[in-house]
Amino acid sequence: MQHFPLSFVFIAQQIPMRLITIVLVLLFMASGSLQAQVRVQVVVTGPGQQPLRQAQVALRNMNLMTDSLGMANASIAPGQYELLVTAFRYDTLRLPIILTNDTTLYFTLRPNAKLMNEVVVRSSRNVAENQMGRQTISASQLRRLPVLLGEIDPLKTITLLPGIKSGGEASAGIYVRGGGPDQNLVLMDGVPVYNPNHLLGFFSIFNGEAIKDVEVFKGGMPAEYGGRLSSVIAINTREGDKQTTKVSGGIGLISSRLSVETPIVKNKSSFIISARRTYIDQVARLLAKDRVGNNGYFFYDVNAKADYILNANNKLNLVFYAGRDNFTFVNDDDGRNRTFNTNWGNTLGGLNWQQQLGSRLQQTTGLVYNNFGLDSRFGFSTLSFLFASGLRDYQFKTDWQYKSNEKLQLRWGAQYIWHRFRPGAGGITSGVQQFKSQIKDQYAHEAAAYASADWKPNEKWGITAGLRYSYFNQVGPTEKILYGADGVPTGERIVFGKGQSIAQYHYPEPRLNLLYRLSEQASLKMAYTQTIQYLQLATTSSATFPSDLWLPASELIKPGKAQQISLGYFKNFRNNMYELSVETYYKTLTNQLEFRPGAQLLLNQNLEGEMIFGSGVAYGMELFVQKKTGRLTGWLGYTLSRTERTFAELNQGKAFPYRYDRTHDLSLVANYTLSKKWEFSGVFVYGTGNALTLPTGRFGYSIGYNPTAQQPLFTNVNQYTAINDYRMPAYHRLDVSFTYTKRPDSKKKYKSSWNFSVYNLYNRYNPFFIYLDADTDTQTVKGKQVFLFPIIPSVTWNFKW
Amino acid sequence: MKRKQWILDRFHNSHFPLLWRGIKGEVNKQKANYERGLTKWMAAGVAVLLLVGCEKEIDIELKPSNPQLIVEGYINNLLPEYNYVVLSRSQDFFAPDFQSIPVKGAKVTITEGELQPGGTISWDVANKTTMSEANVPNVPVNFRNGVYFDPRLITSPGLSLRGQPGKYYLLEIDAEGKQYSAITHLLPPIPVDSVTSGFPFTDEDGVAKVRITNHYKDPDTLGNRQLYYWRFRENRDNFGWGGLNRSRAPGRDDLTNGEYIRLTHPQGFAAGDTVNYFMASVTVDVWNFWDSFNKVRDNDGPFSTPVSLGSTIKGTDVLGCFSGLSLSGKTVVVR
Repeated sequence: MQHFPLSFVFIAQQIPMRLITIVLVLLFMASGSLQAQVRVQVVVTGPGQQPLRQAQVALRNMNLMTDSLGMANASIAPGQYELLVTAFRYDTLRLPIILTNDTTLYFTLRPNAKLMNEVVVRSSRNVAENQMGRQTISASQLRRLPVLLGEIDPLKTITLLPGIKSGGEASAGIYVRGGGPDQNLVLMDGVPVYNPNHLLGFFSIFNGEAIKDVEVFKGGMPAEYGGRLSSVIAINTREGDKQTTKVSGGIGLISSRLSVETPIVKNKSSFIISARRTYIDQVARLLAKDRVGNNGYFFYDVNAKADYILNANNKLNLVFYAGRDNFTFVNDDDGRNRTFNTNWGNTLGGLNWQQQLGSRLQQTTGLVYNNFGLDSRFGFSTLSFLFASGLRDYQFKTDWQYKSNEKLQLRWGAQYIWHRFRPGAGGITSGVQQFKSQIKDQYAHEAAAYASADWKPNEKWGITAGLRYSYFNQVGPTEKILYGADGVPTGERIVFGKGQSIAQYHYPEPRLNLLYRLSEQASLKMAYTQTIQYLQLATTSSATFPSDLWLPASELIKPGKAQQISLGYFKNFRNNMYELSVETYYKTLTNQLEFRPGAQLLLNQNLEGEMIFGSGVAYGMELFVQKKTGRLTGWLGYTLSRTERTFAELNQGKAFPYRYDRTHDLSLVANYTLSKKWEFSGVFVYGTGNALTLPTGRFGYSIGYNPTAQQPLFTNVNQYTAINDYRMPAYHRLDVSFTYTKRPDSKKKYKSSWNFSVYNLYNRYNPFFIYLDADTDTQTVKGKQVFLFPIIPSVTWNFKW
Repeated sequence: MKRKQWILDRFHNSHFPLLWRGIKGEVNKQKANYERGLTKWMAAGVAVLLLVGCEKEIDIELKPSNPQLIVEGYINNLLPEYNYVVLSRSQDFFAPDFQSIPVKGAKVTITEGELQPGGTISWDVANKTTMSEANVPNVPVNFRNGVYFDPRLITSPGLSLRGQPGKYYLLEIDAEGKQYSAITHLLPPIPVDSVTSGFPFTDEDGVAKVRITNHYKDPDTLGNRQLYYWRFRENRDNFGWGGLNRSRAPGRDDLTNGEYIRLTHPQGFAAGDTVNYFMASVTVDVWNFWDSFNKVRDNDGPFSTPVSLGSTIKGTDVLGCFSGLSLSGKTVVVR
């Protein structure tokens, strides 16, 4: 292991000139012999000794970025430099320095007291970085934006970025550049999350208190990411303070959260735990006691993270998440004994070891555990119903990075996942009769290896070329019942032994990013990616539910495949105060899975018999303009796009618009600092309505005759012609929030603030859904629109000490 | 009241549409009682949000539909007057008419056939029944338009069309210049061992009710599925398959193949009521059709995908089913 002969520590808030002079003298004295190149290692941390990721370190013309260890390395000719360290929400540090020898410099930055110079979305790398389709939102930004009922939700907030769409009001799904809701790799500190939602999608599982930042890739995915077709949504949680114990939290209308962080060994290791629980049921009981009765719904979640700095070059961290939703309904007031209970949740764990091997080589190795489970039981009259499903993963991954010089950087790595799927075991009891379905567990190996080179041949060009190679093997033990084309079992079964391959796939996934600098302030970028997805989400409905099943690729279910090409123009104005990007993309999707309309999903041992396979295409243009500094910050995002799907069995085989095809999508986000105490945020969104299938005709069926009433008896049945050829009315909404900090300049440890927000300020009745009602009793046919959220004010009190 | 018989069907699907029903119940006061309970828990879960959620009428412009011939044909082995074919036509969704539109004057025949070695069916031309919009006794006058019966029901009821278990039936229709056809098969009927009463409860009107349980042995052949129909106090005078209450098993045949079945229906019966209970063995295509029928009926809400009614009828612009129902029955007095 390479050791640096010298190291220095700087604390940003107290660098008097005297100290700098001493440093300079020391540097001179340490210079035994002048080398051709000296290696500089810079370590940047926050006041609690947490490493600061993506801090920028500038050494004359060289721009470096710190990694997740807060570390940046460079080789540079000896000499005198001005070193500039900048990090989001921290004071900038400027330091003259003379380098004569290999040196390690430690910087502790002071948090920025003034919020005036807020960077809204960090893409100051807008022009310079060879990466498209990536955006990051910080926790502080998340906290300021107005949200429904005051619940901070990173998954909702990212849908304010162009190309990332929500399904509409109260929809759990995220649709990135025409991809489906299961095509996003949602990572919490690198651990994949299969069901990132609570309460049918009203809230995400990510507790705002625990979040550090959110990073989204909607195109140009680096080779280290794979397994999903359309995007990577990486949620990074905070590390605890390594110097003092801190408590923070918030009390909101429907939930409260608390976070405690404390050093375990001062400056070496820390622990943070954040918890949240809702009391929506209690609130509902207060408001409508007779209606709510003893029924209840709540969710809770706990995030914990421990980290330990073994030494300058080695660090460990342990992340943990557990969350659970619980729904109970009991009613026997009319003797029918209805009961319903369902609970579902994720348990995630990850252990990561980050290591610096010399100044150029770095590795991160991790072990990941992931479990999602659903249990539901339902009793109604003489019927009872039980259903359980789930998924469990064990994962190992290792990522390496080698920085050869300023022009060439290499990354490589590998990962392996063992999957166990529980596609659904359950039963229905009707009186004494039981109908039991036991679909055998399924097992699979998923593995991938990748290598990628980031090359900057000259000032103008940047090329990042990578290749990921992925492999998937569904294995036994299992027993497969064979079904005929009519859905009737043939009576035959195939038995697969333990580890015996059932279906095997492997694909190359090339990734390419190109950058051409037009000028210091403008660049052109291009990206091509191929992504493969081996697990697909089986859902009959358009929303995502906890009862949806993740299914492995099998003999019949081929892995999903996407190819995307994107081109973009990036420009900064007014000394980087404004950033502009225009990205266009074209994406094809193959082996897309859908269920036949009316498919039987639960307790169906022949699930695959209900599937149909098709393809999709998505293309569009995204415009993003943001103002990064000044009292007013914010952005404007606009997307013009088209997304289609084609299935031989649907719409007579003709392409039809995807349900979430959105021709126009606009979001406007503004933050304005009114005074030291008051801050204002506003969000306006507009989107073309979702595509919808509505009946064009109707007829009566199951005809009978009631002689007493002298009337025929029949059921009205709808007739459909084309899929998704009706559009819901446009969706638009304005939300505002004000944050009040009572003593912004207080030197006391205790701080608190109030957040007042109003959702849907002008009370727009946005369609939740539309249906047609043919009422035989009144003999009327009507179109009806259901909307959920009118104007909703909320207040949250946040505190920390 | 008719809604109640659907409860069982609903369980057959995912229970989450049911949750949706709950929300909708919340915003739509018209919803039937059984939804009230679900509404409650939904109120617990989403009440804060939904206390203010609402529904409003909107104008929707739909594209014109392509009119379809709707075929509803039955052949069974027990009830000759319940062997009939109804022909009607679909209409635009916003058409003001709420009656079924009969298709009159069609040529409708049903031919019996037998399966030959090698899998072909030989149709017995001598056993071809021409159906007509006849003035059949016991059949209400208003029901006769577009409803085709065997005219022998009037002239020689003993000779009228009756399905034979094991035989195949070919339905041929010549309506408004176009031809349509369908084939159905009558499976061997499965005897109902007994129908017992039990599972007492008090309904929402405070009346003591019991439920009935059907006992039978499921044959050890896959692809044999059952539909259940009953006549009781509330539908005693109704005519037609659509006038009976009915249910289906909540699980598919392959979950209980060859087992002894004791199936309890959620329907409540008053003590002393006489129930004529019928169990129909049907082929998979017929069962699938009625499965799609139940899904079509239940399908609305934000989470649903529109389901089209299945069809077993050949021809263009036609929908419907020719249902071969192999019946066995029991009449019991509920205790």
